[in-house]
Amino acid sequence: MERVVIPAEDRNGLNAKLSEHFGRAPYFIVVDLDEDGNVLSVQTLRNLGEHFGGVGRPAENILRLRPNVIITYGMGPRALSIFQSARIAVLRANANIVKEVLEAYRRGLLEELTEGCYRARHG
Amino acid sequence: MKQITILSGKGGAGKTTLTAAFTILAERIVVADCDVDAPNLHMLLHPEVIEKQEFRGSMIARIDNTKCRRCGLCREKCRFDAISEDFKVDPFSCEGCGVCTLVCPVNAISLDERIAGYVYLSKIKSGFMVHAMLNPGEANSGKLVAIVRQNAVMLAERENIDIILIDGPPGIGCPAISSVVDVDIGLIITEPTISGFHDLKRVLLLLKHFDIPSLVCINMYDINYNNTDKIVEFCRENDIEVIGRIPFNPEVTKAMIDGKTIVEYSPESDAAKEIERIWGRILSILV
Amino acid sequence: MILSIASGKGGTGKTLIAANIAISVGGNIQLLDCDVEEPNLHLLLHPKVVSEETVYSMVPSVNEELCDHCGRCSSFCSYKALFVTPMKILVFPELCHGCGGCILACPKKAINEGKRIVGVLKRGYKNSIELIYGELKIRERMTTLLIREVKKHISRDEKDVIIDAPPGASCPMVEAVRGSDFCILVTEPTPFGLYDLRIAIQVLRSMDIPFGVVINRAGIGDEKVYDYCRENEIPILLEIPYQRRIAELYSMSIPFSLKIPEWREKFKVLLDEARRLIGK
Repeated sequence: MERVVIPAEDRNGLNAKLSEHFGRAPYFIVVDLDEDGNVLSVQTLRNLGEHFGGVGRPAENILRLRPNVIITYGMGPRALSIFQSARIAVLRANANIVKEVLEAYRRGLLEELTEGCYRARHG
Repeated sequence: MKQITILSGKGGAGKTTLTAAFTILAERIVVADCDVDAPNLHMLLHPEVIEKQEFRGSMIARIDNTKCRRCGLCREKCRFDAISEDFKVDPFSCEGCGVCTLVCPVNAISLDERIAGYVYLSKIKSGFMVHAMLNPGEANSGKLVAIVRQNAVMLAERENIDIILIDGPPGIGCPAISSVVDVDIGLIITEPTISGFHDLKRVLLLLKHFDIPSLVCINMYDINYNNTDKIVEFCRENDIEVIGRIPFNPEVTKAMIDGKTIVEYSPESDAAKEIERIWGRILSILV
Repeated sequence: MILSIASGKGGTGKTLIAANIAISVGGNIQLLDCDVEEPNLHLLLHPKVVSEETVYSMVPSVNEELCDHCGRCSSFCSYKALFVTPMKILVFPELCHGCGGCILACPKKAINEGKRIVGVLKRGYKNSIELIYGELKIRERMTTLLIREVKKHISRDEKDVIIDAPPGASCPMVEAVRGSDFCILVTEPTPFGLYDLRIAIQVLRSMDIPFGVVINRAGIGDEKVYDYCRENEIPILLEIPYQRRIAELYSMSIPFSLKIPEWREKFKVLLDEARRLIGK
């Protein structure tokens, strides 16, 4: 089984729109896949970071879920190095909807995110 | 839901008066006063407190003198010099880390929670306000800032409010960091002085480190046009938007004495109009 | 005499007053800039920097070969600086307060003391004014530790020492003013100024440090600060009126007593008043 975590703007599971930035995403979509890439389960979790009303920071909280892969447009350098240290693959998203990036992932089309981004787009 | 923090690095640039003005201009907002050492925002927004929470920020070590054998191991291992020669814990130095409780061979030391301040959830005209008061001399202001922010998010979600405006503390240390992590925008208020410019650069580096997009606003820009130009040039070179330049206006202080913001006291003034324009621009960026 | 200058509210003029006192006295005086997050004293004095020292804090260094992932270090840590994953221990150095507890808590002795840079300490001279200041590294949180380091360099000679404290009324301010013989509280005659002054006064009273008030930008606000000081028998040691010339010079980073000589006598008198009031 493989666990994939994707930061999202809304609660729509596989149809959710990806968030532009990992740490500031209001939700995380957690998808469990079997060896053939079929979806075993989909969960939508609120960003539980302390600056979102919870406890801890997003990266640490996601670590607790034991993900294998994170797919995102962008991530801060600190979170990136945390996931890299924990040997979690961080891949760059190439589409806007969760189920589309999952499909790209299954086909091995996604590249690794190698650099934390300093400026998320604004405006 | 979007979060924006107003910072300055240097104190006295006008964070609080500006945060209050934006709050008055906003339709529906949650505002968080994260200057927990010396909170002033309530003096302009006149919040009505609906809930008060105790902040048990830190622990403090307590030595049981009946058990203490004065072996001195706690004094040796305490890295904050918080235990005196006669084995009294200095409440101003004790960080509550617990090392002394680990090393005491006779278990004479325990950690007590201490009430280090209070958090207030309040109603204001355009929504809600979360503010706090750290007891004078206390540590862990960063933790209190985090709690203020948590409450702000809770209120925003409960009341379906899209924007959280955070009045940040001065400096770039622990409480300032706590006030900016994971926000969508950092708005830095600066004054056109050499010190202000120096401090602005440090705050920008801080925001960059935490991956927060920055905007700069020059307050009282007409007290030194030369420095204002230098700041504008610096921002241009570094690809940072200067969102506005507010002229100096002595009515800001008169308004404060009246418990008002400049946008209420003197809405036709250039300063008030510029603040209104800036708020509009912030909204368009955030949403 | 060790004189600290604090305020509660930021931006009232602490640094400006510290610089002006030093310049007016002329020499044989030491200044410690303890506003390590945003040090500004060197910008006003333009000292020649003669030494720079890196300041370190401790950070846990985990020996993965000895570690069995029991997690005791992480549960002990009050600052969430250690996180146990199945593969390794993650350390978040910027959260570490350097208490050393993890080293003591580890049953396998798998944690060693590493170090990380939290800032820099600089020493400089302007004529015979000595300036020591600390600069916190961006993103570091160990303000109080760096202030302690700055204060370790307090002069043991007969010279007067002036400590420029950070704004606020919490741990950093306490660390800066601790041990001073007298504290000058700088305020402005506005509602914010008065409110924050009262908080700072609470701290000084609980630390038993005698104090007096300097009112900067006199004339911009109201009379309430004066009323408060009078009612509470708090000496107002000096008033600096809000004047365009003074503000202009400040914006160019020039301490005004350099250009307006009448002020030098006033700042000398301020220092003498503080000295006279110690122990009252």
